[in-house]
Amino acid sequence: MTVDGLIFMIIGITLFSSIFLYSIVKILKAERNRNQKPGELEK
Amino acid sequence: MKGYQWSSRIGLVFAAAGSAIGLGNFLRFPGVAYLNGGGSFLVPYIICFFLVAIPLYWVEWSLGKMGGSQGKHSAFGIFSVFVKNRFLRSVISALAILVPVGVYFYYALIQSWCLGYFLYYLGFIDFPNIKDTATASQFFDLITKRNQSGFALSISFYILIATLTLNFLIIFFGFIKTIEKFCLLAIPLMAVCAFAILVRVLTLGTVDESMPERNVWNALGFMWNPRGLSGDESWIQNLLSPQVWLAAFGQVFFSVSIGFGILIHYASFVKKEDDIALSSLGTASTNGFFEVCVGGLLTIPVIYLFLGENFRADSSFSLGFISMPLVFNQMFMGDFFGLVWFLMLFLAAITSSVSMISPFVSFIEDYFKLSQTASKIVAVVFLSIGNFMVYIFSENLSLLSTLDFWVGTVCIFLLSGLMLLSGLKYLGVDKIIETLKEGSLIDIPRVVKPLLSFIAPSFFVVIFVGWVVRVLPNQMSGYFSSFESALGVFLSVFLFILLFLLSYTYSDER
Repeated sequence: MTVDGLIFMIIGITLFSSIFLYSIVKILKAERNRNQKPGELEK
Repeated sequence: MKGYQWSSRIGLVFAAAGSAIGLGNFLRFPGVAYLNGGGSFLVPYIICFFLVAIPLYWVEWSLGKMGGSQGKHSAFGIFSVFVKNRFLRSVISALAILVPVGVYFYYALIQSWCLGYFLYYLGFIDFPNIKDTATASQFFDLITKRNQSGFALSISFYILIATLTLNFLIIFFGFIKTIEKFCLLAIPLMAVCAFAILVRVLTLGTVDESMPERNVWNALGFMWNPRGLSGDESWIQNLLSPQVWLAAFGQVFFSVSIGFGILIHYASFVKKEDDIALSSLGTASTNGFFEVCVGGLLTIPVIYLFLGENFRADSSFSLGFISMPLVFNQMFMGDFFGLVWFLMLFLAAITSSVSMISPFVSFIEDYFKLSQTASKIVAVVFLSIGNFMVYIFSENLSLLSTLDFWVGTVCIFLLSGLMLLSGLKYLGVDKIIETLKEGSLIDIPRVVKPLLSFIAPSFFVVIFVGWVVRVLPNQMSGYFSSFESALGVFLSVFLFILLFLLSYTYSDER
């Protein structure tokens, strides 16, 4: 594999896995906060 | 249908991603990228993804959410909320039902092929070892029945019955909620299968000691090294090639399921105070992740490792159903990985299939005022007739290909364009952004407004015109060369006219 090929592969993997993980983690966090009972945060 | 809502945001994302992720992610993307410049294909692909796919996604989800907030979940109902012109509304509504129905007619068969291969690797189908191209083709003929049209109580028929039964069972017991629960299980399972094969492929090293150049590193280079379309061209020249841009646009477009009439239906079940901006981004990125990070690292590299350059990259069916079984034949524990591969494809296909039934059931319930159970039964009967037509008229897979072109390509282009333009005309970009912001879990950047108003529509029109001028004429040749092809054209036109007339009547009832 050439350096160019490696760079393109890394860009593709990094970009799409980053957006994917960012979205899923953010959604899961929001879901957890929504399911938390009132007052639970203060404990 | 009324009263249904998604149980969780992640359930919605997985259901929508299940609809988007299909065989195209694992078979079509690698082939298209390989043929259009390898790694350099990512440049137009990423630009199309962010400039066209995401804005169109946001428009489609916003329209669905707005329709849902008025208690409308079928395409007819959703478009009746905001498209004032009756003719235009009838065209869009008809397309939004025709696309999932027409695509389901043949997609369920492709799903049944995956099940057939899965059963073969499980040892349930008595067939000699797939050891060369001839036996691989013979098995593909057996499963697809592509040698001749006609009805036969063959193994392919029983597999189709099993596939349809499975799809309808998911729809019958709970509908949207069951699809959500099913996708919450199926998508992670599909990811496990994908990573199991990926790890296996990336740790193969050199498979044949007599050919040390065929190693994993070179196999990845074979896929990802940027190259010009012809031997002496630089890859930078690819960026000036309309062919590459059309290929990138087509891949992004069809892969993320824009204009399928499914996501607008799914978005109608989102509560007013809930997010769609991040959910739609999550759906598109999940699809992109499976496409680039799994499909891009897996299919072409592993085929190169075992078969060298002796394969057809321009045919998804050839890659998935001829070349891959030959790879598994030579791979250590190949039967196991063949089983995992076709389980992964089957899961990708079934999550897409069930999502296509849902808008049709919703339409029948809304239009004919039937109970949900009765609507499901009518949908099952109607869709099964279509499935069996494609099954019976299977010679050279001509009917399947014709439906794929007219319904699965042309109609999707038209529906996406009309949705975007009517959304901008009747609602305006501010209303769409306002809907996106309701309950949004991410900040909507200011650039979205010019993106939705000018950049995405201009980009869409330019690419669409390019597609009509350069691709359409080549694709249209030979469509009346066989009875099966002519039947496909007739079926597409007939269904469109029927749905258009129904939509026009629906307008009268309002």
